[in-house]
Amino acid sequence: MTSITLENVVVDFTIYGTQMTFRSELLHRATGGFIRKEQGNKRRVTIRALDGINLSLKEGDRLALIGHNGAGKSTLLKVFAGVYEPTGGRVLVNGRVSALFNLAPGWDSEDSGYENITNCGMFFGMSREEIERKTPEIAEVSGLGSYLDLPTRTYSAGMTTRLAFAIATSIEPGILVLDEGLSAGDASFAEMAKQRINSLLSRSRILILASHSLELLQSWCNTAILLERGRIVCSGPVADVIEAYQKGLALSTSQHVA
Amino acid sequence: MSPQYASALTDIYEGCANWRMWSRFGWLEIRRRYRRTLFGPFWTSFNVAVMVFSMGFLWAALFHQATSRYMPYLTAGIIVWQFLATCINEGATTFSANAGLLTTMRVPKTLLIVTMVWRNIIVFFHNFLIFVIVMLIWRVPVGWATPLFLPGLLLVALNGCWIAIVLAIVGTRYRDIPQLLGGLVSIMMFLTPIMWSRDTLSRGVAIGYVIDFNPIYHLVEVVRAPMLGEAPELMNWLVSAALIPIGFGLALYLFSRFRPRITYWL
Repeated sequence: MTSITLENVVVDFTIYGTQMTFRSELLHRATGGFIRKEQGNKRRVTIRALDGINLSLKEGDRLALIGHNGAGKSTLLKVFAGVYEPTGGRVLVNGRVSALFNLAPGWDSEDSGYENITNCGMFFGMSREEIERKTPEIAEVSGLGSYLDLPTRTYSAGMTTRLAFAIATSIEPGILVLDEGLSAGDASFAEMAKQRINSLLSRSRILILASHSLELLQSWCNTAILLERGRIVCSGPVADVIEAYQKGLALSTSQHVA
Repeated sequence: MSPQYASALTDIYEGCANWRMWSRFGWLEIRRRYRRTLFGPFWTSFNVAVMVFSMGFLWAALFHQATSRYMPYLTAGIIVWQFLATCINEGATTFSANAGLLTTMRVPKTLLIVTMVWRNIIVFFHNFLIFVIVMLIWRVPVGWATPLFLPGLLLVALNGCWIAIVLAIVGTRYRDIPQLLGGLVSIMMFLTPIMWSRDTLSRGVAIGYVIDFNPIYHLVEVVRAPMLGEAPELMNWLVSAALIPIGFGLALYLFSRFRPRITYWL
C-alpha cells in the first residue's frame, strides 16, 4: 500500500554566506565562551521554510500545493522527494518516490541519445532490463530516429526537450512529485505529449503537484493544501482551497488599496 | 542503532551496491573528458610519462641515484601518489560538483564518492602502462611479489573512499577546505618519499621516524614495493589496513551526523 506521511515537519534554512566561512567559525572557536554564543545567535540567519506540516496521503490521492511565491511549495516538494530531510519532524514513505524536478538527471551532451536514455533511466531508478525494454518506445516517442546515435550536443533545443520528456514520462512512479507541469516542447507534439502525461499520471499511485496554474491543478488533482509562510492554512477538496486562495488574494489586494 | 546511523549505513550500502551505476559513470566521465582527443584517456598517462622522463633523469643525478633503480621507483611512486592525491582533491569537491543532482533528486551520496574512486582506479591502470614501459626499459624484475600490488591497491582505494567521504562533508560545509587542500597536497608529495627514497635519508638522520609516522608513506609503499618486485614490509600492510577501520569509523561518525545537512549546505 503506497502512502506518504509527514509528521510535524519543520525545515529551517541556515543562510551560509560570507559571515559563516571557515575563518569566522575558527574565530568563534577561538573567542569561545558566552560571547561566541551571543554572537552566533546574532549572526546566524535562519529562515523557517516549513513550519509544523502534518499531512497524510494514501493511494489515489492527487495533491495540489497552492501558495504564493516563497510560501514553501517547492521546499515541501523537495521534502516529499527526499532531497531535503526535514530539520524537525518525520517523513514516513511507503513506496518509490519519483521526482521530476530534473527531467534529465545524468544527461551529458557529449553522450549519444541512446547513452543518455540509459544515463537518465539509471538515475530514475530503472533496472538495466527495464531500460532495454523501454528504449524502443522512448525512441519512438522522441521521434529522433537515427539521431539517437549522435552526441546530443548536435540536437536542437526542441529535440533535446522531446527526448528528455520521452524518458521522464517512461518511468513507473509510485509517488510522483512534480513542480509545475511537464514541458513537452513544440506544438506538433502536443497530442502525443498529453497522452504520455495522462498515462504517467494514471500509473502513479499518488501525485503531488505544485503549480501557479489553477487550471492545471484543478484538472489533475482531487485534494489540495494552501501554504502560507511555510504553514498549511487551508486544506480540502481542490475547488474549495482554490476559492480560499482567491479570497485571500482579493483580501490582500483590497488591504493594499485601503 | 540510532536512526541516523541506520540511514547513513543505508546510503553507504545503496551507493556501493549499485555497481552498475558507479562503474558506468566512472567510465563515462573519463570518456567525456577526453572525447574528440586523439589519445583519449591515454593523455593522463602521457602527462605522467612527460613528467617522469623529463624530471627523472635530473633528480636521479641530484640524488646520486642510478637511473636503472631510480626511474622505476619514481614512476611507480608518482602513479600511486597521483591516485591518492586525486582522491583527496576531487573528494573534497564531490558533493559541491554534483550540487545540481543532489538538490533535485534523492541520490545516495556514497554513490558519487564510489564513482569518483572507481574513475581514479581506471586512471591508475592507464598510467600503469607507462610503468610497464619503464619496466621494460630498465628491466624491473617480475616475481612472486609483483601481483601483490593488486591487494595493495585495494587497500589504498578503500582508504581513498573514507578520505573522500570525510573531505567531501567538510569541503561542502567549508568551501575554503578544497582550496587549502590544493596547496597541502603538493607539500605532502614532497614530504613523502616519492621523489627521494628512504635510504637516501635515513643514514643516521632522525627523519626516518618522520617517514614511519607518515601514513601516506605506507599507503604508497604497499603498492609501490610489489610494482618494483619486492614484497612490502609487514608494517606497510598493517598501517594501510589499520587505517581503514579507523578512517571509516570517523567517516561514519561524520556522515551519520551531517548527511541530512549536506543538501542544505550546497
